[in-house]
Amino acid sequence: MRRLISLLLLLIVALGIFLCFSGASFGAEGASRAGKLTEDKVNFGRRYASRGLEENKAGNIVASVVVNYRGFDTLGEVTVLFIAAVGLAAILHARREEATPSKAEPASLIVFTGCRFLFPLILLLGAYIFIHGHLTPGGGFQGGAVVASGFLLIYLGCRGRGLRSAGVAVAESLSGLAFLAVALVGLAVGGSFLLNFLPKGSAFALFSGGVIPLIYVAIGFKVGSELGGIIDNLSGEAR
Amino acid sequence: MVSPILLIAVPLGLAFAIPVLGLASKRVPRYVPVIAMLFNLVVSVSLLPHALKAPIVVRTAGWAPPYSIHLVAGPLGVLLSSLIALIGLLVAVYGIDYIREGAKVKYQILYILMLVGATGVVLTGDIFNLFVFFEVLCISSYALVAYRGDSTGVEAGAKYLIQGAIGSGLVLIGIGLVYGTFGTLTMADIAANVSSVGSFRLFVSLAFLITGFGVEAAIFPLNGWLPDAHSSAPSSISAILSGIAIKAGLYAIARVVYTVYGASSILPFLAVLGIVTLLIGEMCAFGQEDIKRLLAFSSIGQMGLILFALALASATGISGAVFLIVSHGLAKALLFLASGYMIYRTGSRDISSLNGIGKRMPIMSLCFTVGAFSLIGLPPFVGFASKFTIVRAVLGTGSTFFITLLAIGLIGTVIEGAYFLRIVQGFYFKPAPEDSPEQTEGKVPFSALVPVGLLAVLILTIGLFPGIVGRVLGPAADDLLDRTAYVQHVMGD
Amino acid sequence: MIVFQTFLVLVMIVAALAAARFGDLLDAVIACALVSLMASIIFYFLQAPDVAMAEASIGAGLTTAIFIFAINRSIRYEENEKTD
Repeated sequence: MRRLISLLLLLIVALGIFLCFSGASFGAEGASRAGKLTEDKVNFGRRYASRGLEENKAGNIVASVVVNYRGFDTLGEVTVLFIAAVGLAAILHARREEATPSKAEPASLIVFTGCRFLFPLILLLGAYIFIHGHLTPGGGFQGGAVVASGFLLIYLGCRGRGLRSAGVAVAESLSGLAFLAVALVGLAVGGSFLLNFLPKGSAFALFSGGVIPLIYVAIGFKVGSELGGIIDNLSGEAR
Repeated sequence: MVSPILLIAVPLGLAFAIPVLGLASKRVPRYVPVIAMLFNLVVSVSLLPHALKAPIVVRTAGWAPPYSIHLVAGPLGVLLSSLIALIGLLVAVYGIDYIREGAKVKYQILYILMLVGATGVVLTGDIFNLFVFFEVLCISSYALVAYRGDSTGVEAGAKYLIQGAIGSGLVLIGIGLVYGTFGTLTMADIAANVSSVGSFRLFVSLAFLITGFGVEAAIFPLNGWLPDAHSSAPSSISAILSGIAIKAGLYAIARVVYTVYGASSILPFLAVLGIVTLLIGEMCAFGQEDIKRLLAFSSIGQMGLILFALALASATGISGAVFLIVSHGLAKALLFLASGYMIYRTGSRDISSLNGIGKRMPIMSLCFTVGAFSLIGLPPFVGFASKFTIVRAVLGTGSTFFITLLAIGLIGTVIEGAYFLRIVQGFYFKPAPEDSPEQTEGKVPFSALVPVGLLAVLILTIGLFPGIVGRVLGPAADDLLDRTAYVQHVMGD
Repeated sequence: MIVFQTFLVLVMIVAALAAARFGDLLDAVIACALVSLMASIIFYFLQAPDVAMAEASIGAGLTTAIFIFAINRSIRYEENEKTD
């Protein structure tokens, strides 16, 4: 009986949310907005798509939205991930002493060799994703996650090897500071935080988009080292 | 004039730099939060005169709103960011010697980031950015609650994490609905177009937002996490959580209800919720034997009163609410900080074990008493001035509904007076328990006496001269109430 | 194409329900990973390759690993609760 009632309530809530979302236009049309603002201001999603390429010269419009138009949010999101990594380390720090050493057996030779063979390739893929973030789909977050999954492979397949925590901390710090430094140079040069102050070049070339590739590389390093640090902390006893 | 964005960027940079500094020297990271908050305090106070003239709108990435994120440093935002920086600075000084165990470097990072999140919440002008900074604030507080790693701390942290994450999820759904409806995330842009959309969808998104932010603001049905979280955190963190973090949730609610939606029809409901929260918080506090849980429940009660005052929708009412945010922030931070060393000294959190401590720790007990009297609302402390403003505002509305609610609410204040006076009486007029261990390590260092003493002096000074803060309160209330001016400042070119 | 997407969504729903039902946490985590993987494919078809990549690498990859590490540190089986 209780289960039936809870299911019924859930259905009602789901129906309500569905009704609300089904009517929403999600930026596809500006029709629902009959305000007194001009047509250009009606829909910023459409404006990004139509003007983003010429304004930032980044082939991947998503990149210019993530790093330029809404770059401040990205800074916040990188910080959230940083907090998650630091907070996890802080809580596990107190528990570290109690942890018993892991008794896991070493991986077989095939797994060991396979991991070592794949590891540089995964790193290369991750680096490619965030260096080409302004040209092709993907970017700092995705590239960083791929890099971190490479380290995960090492932790799983090659026991006894892993990241040095001092190195992770330095990479984390410096990449975060690099992001902020680029943003603050924009403030100093053009009076606006995160301003795209570098020459933008021509779209779809590797050296284009002004500061977007720089920031994406910084995000890639930061996300990679943070996720790597989380994995390192959680699999801590293995070392 | 410095750009208000530095209030976020500089402490963020310092927090990012701490791991590297920590490798270089073990001692340096302890002082970084002090530097960061000192910078924020100086910049916020220097911005205050500019913000009073006109809100400062800061663009990012060089595009005008609504195309990019912007900050709006109005009178309310700058006043609150000054308060955050002030309390943050004093608590950071306190934390230099208070934090002795655990991952100290990580504590300092999380501490700065929590305050960065709160500053971002009060300064931003973009609703999704509000959510991002809200997450920065919340996630760092989850980690700090569980910081000690003992089982009560981790349990409280997990409770807080689960409820807070559900709240954040609701906020995110609400923002999704808003974006789907208006195609924009700029709060001023939404405010300009709110009247053009049917009321049903507006109501649903508003309900999501209020419920989500209400979890952090500890409004009545959503405050199950608060007593555990605020009492098991280290005392310095409890001071920030009670003094600042819950207010950030309330600020978000006020900003959304007043500025973005202009939803005056929902206000009586919020007023009732506020009074219910007040009564429940104070009644639970009355029965507590654990000093930190008592303070935590008292925070719930005060939040209820602030919410009630915010819901009055008059300039005086909102001034009173903002004034109470300031006075409660100062007083509750003082109480938690003072109780932190009292607990160290007696080795117990029981109120009965604090009996007779007035002789053993005279300065701490005196400061605690000042804070408690201010919370009750006794003159000449700042709590009196703020509560008096609220009472005046309610009488000014002349509506029977609000006056009845206030009369019920006064019962809560009487209860509050009863339990705080009981504690203070115990400090001075009851003999110390027989078996009280005299711990020498509980000696209060200079770095703890200074912030506690300064907070007490501030409470007394502002109480005697309310005009110091009072000049800003009127413009701060207008900042929330006057939607057309807000829209014009942000969108107007 | 619409049939294929419907199929993916159905798989997602079934996997999500299964994740809630499984008493073995390891099975539940694998089911969660399946949900993420299906979501990632759907994102790709909805022309959001960026999100698809993030979902695949973080949702299906790293989150699963983190869950497994966490299970490794605690217990694997849920205790039997009383059902009414």
